[in-house]
Amino acid sequence: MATISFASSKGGAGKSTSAVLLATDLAQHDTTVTIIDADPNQPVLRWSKKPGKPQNLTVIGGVTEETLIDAIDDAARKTAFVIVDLEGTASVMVAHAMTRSDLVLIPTKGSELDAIEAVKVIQFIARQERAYNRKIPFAVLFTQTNPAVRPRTLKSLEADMLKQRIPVLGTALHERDAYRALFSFGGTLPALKQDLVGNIPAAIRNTRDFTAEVVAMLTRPADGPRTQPAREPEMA
Amino acid sequence: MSGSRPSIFGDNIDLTGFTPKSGPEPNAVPPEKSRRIAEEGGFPSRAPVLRPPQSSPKTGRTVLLNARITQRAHDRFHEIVAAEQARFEVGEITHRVTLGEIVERALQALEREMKGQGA
Repeated sequence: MATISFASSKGGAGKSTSAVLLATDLAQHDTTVTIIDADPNQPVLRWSKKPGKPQNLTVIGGVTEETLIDAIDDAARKTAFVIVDLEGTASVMVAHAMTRSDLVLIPTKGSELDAIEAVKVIQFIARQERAYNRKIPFAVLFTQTNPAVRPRTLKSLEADMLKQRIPVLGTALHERDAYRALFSFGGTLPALKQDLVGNIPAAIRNTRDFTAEVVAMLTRPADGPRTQPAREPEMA
Repeated sequence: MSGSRPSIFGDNIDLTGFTPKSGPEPNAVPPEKSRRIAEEGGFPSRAPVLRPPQSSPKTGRTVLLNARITQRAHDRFHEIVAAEQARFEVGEITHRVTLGEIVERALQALEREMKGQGA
C-alpha cells in the first residue's frame, strides 16, 4: 500500500494533471488505485466523469477537512495505491494528507515565484517531521517544462534545491498537449486519438518515466539517499 | 522501428509489493494534533465557518424623528439613556436601551400625565 499526496501552496502548479497521469499509468499495471480529489474545484472528479476511466481506478470527491483522513484510511484498505490531489493552498487538508502519506510530491513550475511556494511546503514538511519524529519522504516535481530546452532559471533552481539537499525528481513533466487533452476527452493517454492530439507517444514515455521514478522512491529504504541528480531533458 | 522510444526505467514496473492495507494505521497521527501542528505552521483551516444568522431584534422603529430642542433637553435626554444603559450593564434590566425606546417611554409618560390631568 502506498499513499502519495500532491501538495503545493499555489494553484496551477500541475497537481491534478500529475495525479491523474500517475494514477492512470499505475492502473495500467494490474493494480488498484484511488484518487482522492481534495481540491474544492474537483478537477479530477470532473475528469473521472468523462468516458474511459480505468475500472481499477476509483475517484472520490467531496471530502472535507473533517473527512479527509477517514477517506484516505478507507481507500488504503481497498486499493494498493491512494493518490491525494490537494487544493493549491496552505491548509489543514495538506497537513492531514501528509500525516498519512508515504510520499509527498510537490509540483512546481520552473520559475522562482513558483519555487518559493514549493519551499513553503518543504518547510512545513520539516516542521511536521520534527513534530511527529518521523520522516515524510518528499520530492519536488518540475512541471510544464520544455522538452527540448532547459532554461537557465530552471537549471539554477534545480542546482539550488540540490545544494539544500532537497530531493528533486529526475523526471520533469513536460508541457504537452496530450496532458491538457486528457482533461478535455477523459480516459488515459494511450486511449487519446492521434488525429486529435499531437505526440501522444512522447507524453506516454514522459509519464512512464515519472511513474517508474515514483515507484522507485516508494521502494527505496527509508534511510536511503534523499537527493538525486536531475537528468538532462529528453529531446522531443 | 518503433515510433516510441522505451522509457529509460523500462516499461515493466513491478508493483507486486503494493497491496491494500490490512490493519489500522500504526502510530497514526490523531487529526486534532495534525490540526494544531498545521495551524502553528501557517496551514490554517480553510473550511467555511457556519455561524448562526445574526439578526438584530425587530423593534419596528424605522422612522426618523428630527426635532430642534434645547441643549439642556438634549443633555437630559442622553443622561437618561446613559442611566438606563448602565442598568443594563449591571444586569438590572435584560436588554440594551435605545434612544427610540426612551422617546416612546417619554411619550407614554406624557400620555399618562395628560390622562391624569383630564380625569
